[in-house]
Amino acid sequence: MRDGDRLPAPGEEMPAPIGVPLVDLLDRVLATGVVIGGDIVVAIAEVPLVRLSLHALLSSVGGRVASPFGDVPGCGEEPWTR
Amino acid sequence: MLHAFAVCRPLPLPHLAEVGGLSSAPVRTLRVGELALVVQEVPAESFTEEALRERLSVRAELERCARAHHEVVAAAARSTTVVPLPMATVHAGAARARAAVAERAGPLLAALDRLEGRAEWGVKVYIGPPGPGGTAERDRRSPTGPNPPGAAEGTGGLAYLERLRARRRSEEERDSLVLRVVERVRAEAARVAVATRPLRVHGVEVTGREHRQVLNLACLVEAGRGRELVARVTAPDRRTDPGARVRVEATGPWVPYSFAGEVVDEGR
Repeated sequence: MRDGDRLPAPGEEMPAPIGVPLVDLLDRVLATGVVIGGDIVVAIAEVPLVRLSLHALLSSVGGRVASPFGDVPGCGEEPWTR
Repeated sequence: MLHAFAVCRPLPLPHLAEVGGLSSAPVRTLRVGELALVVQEVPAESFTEEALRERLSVRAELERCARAHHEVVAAAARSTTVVPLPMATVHAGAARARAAVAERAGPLLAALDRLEGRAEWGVKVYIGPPGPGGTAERDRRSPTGPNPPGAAEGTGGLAYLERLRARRRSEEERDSLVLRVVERVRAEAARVAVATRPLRVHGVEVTGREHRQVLNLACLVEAGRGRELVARVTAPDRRTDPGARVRVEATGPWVPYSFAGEVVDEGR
């Protein structure tokens, strides 16, 4: 079963996902972005010890995790179009 | 201590009032020339490098911080274009934070220009086990195929070799399918996206053994073209994937985390 089969017809609103999958969020908030010269920047992806424990942590993350915040802004909407 | 979340232009960010961030202090902005830094006062003792590392090694705490960070970044992004900063970017005070932004003002402004009116979408491709329609399965059931009924279940040397050969054939089929599918999805994404960037592929500990992730692609897309991207990459393709082993998942729109670094890094 492909996700494409469940896509709404053109013109319909894309349903807002239930929270953001944690694993996808971690891909973004930890490993990417800009490091500006803070006094401490814990560049987690570059610290082997932490990377290892993150790896172990990720094993329990799985796919979709319900967000404690309900609808997270920034997901399921295009903020700049409003 | 100040935790920094994102850089943007100095505009009103009303939605910051609705988010909690990482401490009980208000989330606010620091004006730095043509830029603004979204920050929050956090307790120094919980944000030393050691304390952070310890806390972020606990899954529940990691999740809480990641979601809180994202919530602030997303709240700012509802009002204007932002360059998200990585979680756990901490400065000793407002003066230091301002200096850090001022030092990189040029590249940060360039990043804002590049990201304006664009969103990030995630495209993930998984390969599942061969289904009943798969080629390997068809061969096994075919009376004239290379793997007649009974032979594979035998215990002799020939049956063993036959099983090895069948397994290798199925692995080769899978690898060739992966290559074709990844190429097709990347090509479809590139037709719509302004830029694409491969992210770390999730291991089986996340996806489960049955479904192997073979592509985790971040795509920078003009606002309003997200649905087109999703439709293209998730469209069933029976020619490349006759056995329907492939699943394509799209997430978004995201604040463009994965594309914030490129322009800024050039200035290093």
